[in-house]
Amino acid sequence: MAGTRLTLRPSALGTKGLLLFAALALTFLATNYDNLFFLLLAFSAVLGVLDAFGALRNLAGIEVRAITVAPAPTGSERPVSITLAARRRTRFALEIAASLAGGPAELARLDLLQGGATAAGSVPPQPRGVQVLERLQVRSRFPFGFFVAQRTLAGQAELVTYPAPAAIAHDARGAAGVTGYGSTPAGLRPFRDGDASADVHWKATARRGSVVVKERERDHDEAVEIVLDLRLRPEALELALAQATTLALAARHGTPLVLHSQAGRVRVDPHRGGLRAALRWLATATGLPPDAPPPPAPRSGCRLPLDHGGSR
Amino acid sequence: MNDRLHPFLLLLTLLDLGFVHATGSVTATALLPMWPLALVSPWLRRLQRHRWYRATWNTTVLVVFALLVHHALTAGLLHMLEDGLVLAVLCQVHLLNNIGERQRPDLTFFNSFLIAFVAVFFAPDAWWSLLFAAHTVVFVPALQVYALTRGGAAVDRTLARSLLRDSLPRIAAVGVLTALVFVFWPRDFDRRGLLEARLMFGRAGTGIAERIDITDNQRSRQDDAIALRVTPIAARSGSEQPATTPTHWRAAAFVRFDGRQWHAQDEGSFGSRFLTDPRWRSGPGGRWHRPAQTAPHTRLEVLQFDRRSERLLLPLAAVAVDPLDLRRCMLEPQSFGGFATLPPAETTRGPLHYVVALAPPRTTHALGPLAQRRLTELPRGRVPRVAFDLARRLRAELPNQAGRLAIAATFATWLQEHRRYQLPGEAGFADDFGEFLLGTSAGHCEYFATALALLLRIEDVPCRLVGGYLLHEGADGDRALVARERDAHAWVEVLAEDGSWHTVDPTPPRRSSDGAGDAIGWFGGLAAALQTLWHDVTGFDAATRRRLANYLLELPTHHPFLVLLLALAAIAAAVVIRRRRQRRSPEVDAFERAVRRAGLTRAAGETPRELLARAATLDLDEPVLTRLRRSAAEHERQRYGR
Repeated sequence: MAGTRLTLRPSALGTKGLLLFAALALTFLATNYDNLFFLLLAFSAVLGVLDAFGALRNLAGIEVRAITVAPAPTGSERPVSITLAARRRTRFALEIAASLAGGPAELARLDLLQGGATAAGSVPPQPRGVQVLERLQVRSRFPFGFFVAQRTLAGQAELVTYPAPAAIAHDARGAAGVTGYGSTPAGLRPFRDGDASADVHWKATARRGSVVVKERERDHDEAVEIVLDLRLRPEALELALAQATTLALAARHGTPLVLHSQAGRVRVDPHRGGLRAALRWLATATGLPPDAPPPPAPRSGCRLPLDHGGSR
Repeated sequence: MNDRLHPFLLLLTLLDLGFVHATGSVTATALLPMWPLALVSPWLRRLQRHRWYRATWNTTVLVVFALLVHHALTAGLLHMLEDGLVLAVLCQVHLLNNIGERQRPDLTFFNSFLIAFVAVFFAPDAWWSLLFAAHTVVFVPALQVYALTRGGAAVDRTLARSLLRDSLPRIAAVGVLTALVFVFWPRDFDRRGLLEARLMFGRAGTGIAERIDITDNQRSRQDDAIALRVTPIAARSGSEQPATTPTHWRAAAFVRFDGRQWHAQDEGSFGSRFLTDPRWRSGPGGRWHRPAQTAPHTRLEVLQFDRRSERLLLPLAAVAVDPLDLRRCMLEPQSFGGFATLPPAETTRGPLHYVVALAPPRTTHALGPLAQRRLTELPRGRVPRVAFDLARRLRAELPNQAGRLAIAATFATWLQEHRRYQLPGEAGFADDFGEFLLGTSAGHCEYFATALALLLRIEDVPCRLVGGYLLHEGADGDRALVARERDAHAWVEVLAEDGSWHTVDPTPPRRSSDGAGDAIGWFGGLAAALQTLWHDVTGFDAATRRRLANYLLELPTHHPFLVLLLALAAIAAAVVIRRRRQRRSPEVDAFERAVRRAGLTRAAGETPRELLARAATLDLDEPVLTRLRRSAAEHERQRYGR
């Protein structure tokens, strides 16, 4: 990951310093030649030139070795760690920034780089989507702060920003089949909101006087099946994606989740993984026109957005 | 401002106080409270969250500012720069105690540099150079710490050590490069300022002025640039006079005193009708001569670097001038026995080069009554009463028949013994001429010369005040003598009864503090060497640069062993630096060892992880693989800190 571009501009301190230097130089020219005046001007000029040279040298030979950044929901910061390497000299005060969707953002800062070092920082909240970090800007005011040198370095990282999870009521989860829905009856239980009418055990209901439904044993390959129709209006689609995120995250530790949409089928399983792919899919999902074909509907899947769900 | 930066700013502020103190323009009493306020700032600044604390500081600065404005208005604008220095250093102390965590200390840096800068015009001596060297040693790392802590870096011990290691070569580079630019940057050492006539700096410098204003107490720059260089050529064999070089070299004579200013003898058209000295006549080959009592006994080769005075510098005893290279300037004889130089339209730079022959000039017997009156004239009502009292008292000590020269010598000796010498701007310098005459304060050469001239004129002794250079500094062994810009001087010439003019200098010898060489022991020697070095810096010119360049070019011829030693040292340093750069960490060595033991060879550009992946596909023993993994992890931790 080699560096590409190097720029140098005066900082606020440097601009003030240049103005002062210009004023002194004009005074020097306006008055008769004086050795001490010249000496002080020479000192100031040398300080400025060495600073410009030092700032460029501080960034020379730096490489980005690795960028580690986890997917994060919209509206949240996420940690990032950037590994830099540089040979020979010690480098100081490196600010690492990138141009992101929300504008330029400072990601991390490395005060000392001897050989190699990892800078830990954070990425500011980003909009939903996947951004590819191909370039990083490494800036430095070192050594004297009169100039800001900037070097654009090649990097490779993907910034996945998935929808912020939306709260879903427990009953709605039931509607989504989170409580388990298999083909083998295991017993009876009182009716709960959201239970399918096909599961009502009418005989037992008549006998007991209250609605009783059949409890089914979970299938071996059971999963929460949800359907996301991408033909939704944009607001509804965002809500549906947010609810899908909630379910996908919950599926890490519970029942596997299968998400059906026109774009295909995504599965999250606590044992077999798939969360990262699901979150990436949720980050990139876009709506379809109303005349697009409907998503494939599984036998027992529920459709998003869930009516009982609430958005954060 | 970061806490780590504060110690550096404290040091800078202390150095700023040192600069202001070194100028001698600000009394120690005024600076006294600022030292402790700066020193306790690490504790005092903790109070800055209190409104009363900030209000107290701001009010104090405003009050001091008002007092300084009042002082400038009452004491005159001449003290404005000194007052400005007090205010600047107070602001430094104020900033040190009041800059908050989120505020930038930019102003502290600029203010500090400006204080050092302005101080050089007040005290351009070796002490300033020492203070400035110390200032650079603090200033450079302070800027580095500022650049580092601006982003909120916590400067721990490792970072501080690395920063210090980085600072030292940078400080050295700043010093060496500044010296190289100063020595080798091409420039005109005689350049005239674009606004020379209008700006204060032009007036503040030492040198010969058209008028001498004794109310101008402004401190002048003590410029070390060489103004005059005189080399004796040969003494005429059989001459009774020793071949000594005169010390007083005249540029202008001043006759009329209006109570405030001395006016040049040739001012206006009056001078041409007021000949007080033997007239100069031109001869073949551009030679000028005037009647002398004897044949010339001494010939002096003169290089006059001072072109600003537009006068040819000559001693009183000059009777012939042979131009060698006058840079196309024309000479115009003056009534006082000197010459004005008329530069051509296309002025050429460089020193005037000429030879002067010395002999006692013929006396002036026929001074008219107008000239006599001019030479004894006193400004009516403008001479301090103490001058009359003093003249009468001193005259009373002499016999009635004492001649003019005896009176002049007595008065001059009394002034030398009873009045103190001090430069304007220094502590103890008189606020006005009256104070000096009273003896309550010290004065400079113009005060001494004016005092003597007034005392003599009170006693009807014809005299005039003369401005020029005092030649006293040896150069090139004991043959040549030089006068620097700071050696500009004023003295008195007395017209004796026989019509001859005599130099009488009432100014006591220069203060011993001017020459650090008076001190004894190693410290004295060191101080003298430093002083000499500093004079070389302040008096640096094209000739010095040429000499330095020649010395460097001839170094391999004259000191081959020294050059060889330096070359060997440079090579040794380069080897050490190269080895240090190539030195690898133990973790990297351990990894390379593990790779070798596994019977593997790293491919070009192959990372440890890639090598591990390759090793996993090979049929290696588990302990070998484990060792390889462990050493790769150590290597990675060392390289990337994780």
